[in-house]
Amino acid sequence: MQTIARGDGLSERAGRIDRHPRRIPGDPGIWVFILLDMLIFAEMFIILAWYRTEHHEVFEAAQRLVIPGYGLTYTVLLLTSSWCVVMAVTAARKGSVKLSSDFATWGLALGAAFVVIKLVEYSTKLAAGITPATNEFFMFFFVMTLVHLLHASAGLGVLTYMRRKIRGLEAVSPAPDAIRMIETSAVYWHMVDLLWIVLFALFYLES
Amino acid sequence: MRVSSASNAVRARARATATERKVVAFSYGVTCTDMEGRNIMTSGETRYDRRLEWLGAWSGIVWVVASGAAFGGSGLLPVKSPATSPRDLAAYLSDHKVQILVGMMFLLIGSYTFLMTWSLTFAYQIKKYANPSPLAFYVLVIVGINGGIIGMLCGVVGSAMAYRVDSLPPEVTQLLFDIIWFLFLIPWPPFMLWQFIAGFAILSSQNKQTMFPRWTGYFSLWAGALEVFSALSVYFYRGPFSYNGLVTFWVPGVSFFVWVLVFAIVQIRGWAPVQSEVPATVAAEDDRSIPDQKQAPIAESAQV
Repeated sequence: MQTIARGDGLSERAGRIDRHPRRIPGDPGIWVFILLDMLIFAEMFIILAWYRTEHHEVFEAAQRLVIPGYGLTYTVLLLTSSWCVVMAVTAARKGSVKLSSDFATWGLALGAAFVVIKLVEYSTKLAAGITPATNEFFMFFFVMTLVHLLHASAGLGVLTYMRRKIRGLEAVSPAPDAIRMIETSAVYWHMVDLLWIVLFALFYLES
Repeated sequence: MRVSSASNAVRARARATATERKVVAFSYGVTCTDMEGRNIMTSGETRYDRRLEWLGAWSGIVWVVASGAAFGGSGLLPVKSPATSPRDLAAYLSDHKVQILVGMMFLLIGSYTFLMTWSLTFAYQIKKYANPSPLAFYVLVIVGINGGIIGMLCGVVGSAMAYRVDSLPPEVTQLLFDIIWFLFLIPWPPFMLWQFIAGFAILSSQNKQTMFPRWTGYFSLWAGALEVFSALSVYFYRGPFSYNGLVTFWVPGVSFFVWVLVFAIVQIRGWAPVQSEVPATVAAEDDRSIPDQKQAPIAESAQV
């Protein structure tokens, strides 16, 4: 930036851009994954909407068997977890390794709680004789929440990796490469959260 | 004919270490190096090797086109629903008998040969440019061969089904029809392994290589994650999760084709710049002929 000649409008503009560079969070490549993955979910949402209009009564009746309390719990867990991850990234950028690591641990614990409670909900449904073969609603309910659960389970691995990266940081000047991979992990976890919010609205809120 | 002293020295070294070279080439399969890890391929051999790399990358495109045309032209797409009655299915297949037989021939040409040549080239280039791990290389080779064999089985079962469609009971024809699609879909775990190993190999790469950009690593992980949808196909007889469904058939099926196509294009586009980064003479002199060592002090190694 210092090498740019002063007094020239273009250079000044270049200087400003340099001071506040527009940067994609994380490794730019992760956005290829995020956008393609959301595309597949979007496809499933469209198919679900199609089936919902085709089998309106079945969906209405079946949706009453879903306990909204579970959905609300998951939403609170995942949103809080995502908030912890945001705080962990912010702390990591400032080089507060201990604080960042603690937030990452909380994010991980809340994510793990989501996975455990989800498995409990599945087992209560299966014990009540409700399976993916029951009707169209539960076919989508089980398959789509299971696909999301697989994403969340992979996310626990991603958050563990993130925490390891945070603990490897140097307190004074965190390495930009490590920060970028920490952001990449956070971006993935936010996607899991975002997809859940759509699933929550589709399956747990009465239409 | 003027032969440079550098290449004479290389050839002398190649002759001197011929025995060692055989052993190492056999045990690693990929890099033609001596015991100290020096590249001992002559410039002519290096050129041949690179030409094969280029052809191998193109064979991925050939696979996509041949297999896509095989399925598309055979009349088997869109796949008949698993809920179709056996009589209706057999009547439909009987009407398309010759079309199916020709389609399966193209599937055998595409999958059994060119998926193998592409997958071996892919494994080789991952090792050469992105990540030198021998274990990752072996896994990529094995799962690539597995992919070719599965394609071959689809073609053979499809041919057998069409061959006897007029004399077999419709239920047996339907069973063979089911087997084609189950072969295509449910052996997904090694395919997921293939795409995950390749993705992590690229992402963990320490080389500043230009052949496989980082986004291709994430792309490979995405394609691998989608393979899991195939597992659903055995539980449903109709709808988006049955073996002709939008989610279970089209998502993993198309994403695998797109995965090969994208990587083949990346390999073909990346090939020429990589070659100019490593001129043939330097490749023979350099310790390892990987492009990121372009900045290595060539003058210094020449003095040695």
